Amino acid sequence: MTPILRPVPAALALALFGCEQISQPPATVSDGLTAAHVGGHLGSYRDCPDEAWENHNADDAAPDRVAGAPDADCDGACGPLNCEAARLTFTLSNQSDVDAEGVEPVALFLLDRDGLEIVELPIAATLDEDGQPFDGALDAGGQALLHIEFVGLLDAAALVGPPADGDGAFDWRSGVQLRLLIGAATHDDTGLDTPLVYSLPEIDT
Amino acid sequence: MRPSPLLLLVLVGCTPPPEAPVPIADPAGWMVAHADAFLSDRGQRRAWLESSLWQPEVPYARKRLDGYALPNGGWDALPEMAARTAAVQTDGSTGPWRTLPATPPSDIAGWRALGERVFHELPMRRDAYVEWLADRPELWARAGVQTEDGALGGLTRFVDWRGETRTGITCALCHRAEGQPGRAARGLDLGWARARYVESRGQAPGAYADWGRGRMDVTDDPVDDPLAIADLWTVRWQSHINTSGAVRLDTPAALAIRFETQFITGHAFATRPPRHLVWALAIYVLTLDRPPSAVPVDHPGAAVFADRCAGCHDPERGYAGDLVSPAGFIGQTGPAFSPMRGTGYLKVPGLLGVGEGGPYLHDARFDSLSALVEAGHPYGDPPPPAQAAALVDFLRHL
Repeated sequence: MTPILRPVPAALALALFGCEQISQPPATVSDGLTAAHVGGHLGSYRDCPDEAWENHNADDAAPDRVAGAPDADCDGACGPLNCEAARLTFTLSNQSDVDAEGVEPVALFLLDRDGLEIVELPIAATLDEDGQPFDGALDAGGQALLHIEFVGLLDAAALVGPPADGDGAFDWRSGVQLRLLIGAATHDDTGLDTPLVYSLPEIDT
Repeated sequence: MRPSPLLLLVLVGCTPPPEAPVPIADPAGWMVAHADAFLSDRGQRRAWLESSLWQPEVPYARKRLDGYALPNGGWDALPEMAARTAAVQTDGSTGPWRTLPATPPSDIAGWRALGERVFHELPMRRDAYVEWLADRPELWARAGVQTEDGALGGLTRFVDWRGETRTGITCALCHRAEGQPGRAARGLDLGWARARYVESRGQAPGAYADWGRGRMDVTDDPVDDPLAIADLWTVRWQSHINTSGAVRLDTPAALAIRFETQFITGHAFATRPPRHLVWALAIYVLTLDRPPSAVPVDHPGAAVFADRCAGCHDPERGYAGDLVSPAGFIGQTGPAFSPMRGTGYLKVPGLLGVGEGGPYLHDARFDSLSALVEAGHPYGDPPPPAQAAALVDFLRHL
């Protein structure tokens, strides 16, 4: 699968997305929702490379794999898989005095070193703090911790390239940045750019 | 093992290591006095983190600087793990569930007792291969998870953020042996366990099969550099931790932050530990002790040690030291230049208990003290045979 270069600045992307792809009521609360990155990783696909973005069929539904779950199709060698969906965790705050409804992460992009969107990563699920599906509601003045699980990459750095200012010593698996866009029925869109995010290490103590 | 490190640096013309912090004399007392700051002052934790990561562009450091103790968001916002665990029993079943205290102790004895429980009960990470291994008791003896006397420690069950029961490993899996917390589990062969696990999935075992007992590659990078599991008895005297010294122990808080961030990465950034538990764990590790050394008075090896070794291995600090340049080392110097944690230096480890069994050096290349001394240690000339014999005997008494 060849990445599609989409050099769209963040602000413009938000504007375009809000106008063209999200059906919103005429008047939404502006500056009411704010998101902050908490943590995350690009997944682990050792036992399921076909589920990574590089091999993922865009027509397939994104997998919703539970970490450590056994392979449903195993044949005599059943056991937990080294396979874990990529995940991004963030807080979403509603700083307005209007309850937010229809809140939904709508797009996730891999960014190049210049902050431009180069690949859209399919979102599989949006979960609340307890791992349950998020219902899209956020009370006025409230804050929620949310997780999205998405189709991660086997080798994100290969798509993004090395940092322009890297000296080569530590660039072999430099992290990559992601951009998350969040829509809502009642509020203006919001989003966040992550700090560097990495593949989930198999060995790291 | 001559010459002294300072002279060696001059001789080889390498960059001197950074100035080392002076270890705090009473780290446990310091930690009890600063517990409230760790538990309630985010800015102070951030300052401690930044101070300890003296090479901030190393990926190990950068990950932590991007996530830990940020003013908004970051790992502080992760949900706390429910500290409810159950030991894996010798038949593979799950033992009684127990819950670690939800509130911090008030005195040093309480902190240490809590830290001991954390050492044995808190899952520091979870891995697919551990889950697989935990379901196969018939493999435990070979993997070194279960010792010859049948004792089993270090595998624990817990409930993850999704509410699912998982199996993780505690500090005790790697850092407890022969009934002694703090002693490296030199019989542990997690490379073998990992190799069997990936083979069960039809994959080649790769480098896992070559780790050997008592060794683990702890960095997920293209470099195959398994390291000897370390004894923990001398952490209190170390100026740095990790083989490459990526974390500077300028305060004991750095150790607690090391444990907290280790837990967060080990749980895939989904949860963080209750903070008082990692503080207690650090107190416990910093007060770990072992039976006192029994070096005979006027041992002839003492003079050899003082002449050849004490320049780096300080007898007043558990025979530990600071960082040294690997320039001129024999053998593997890879950890100094690890893609994930390389600082360009290596830590001088403590030697308490060094006589109780090898293998020796950070890469476990020598099976015996004699072999190490006769090879000339990491650098320098081997001592004459008589001095070497005296030195080896001295080391066996530490």
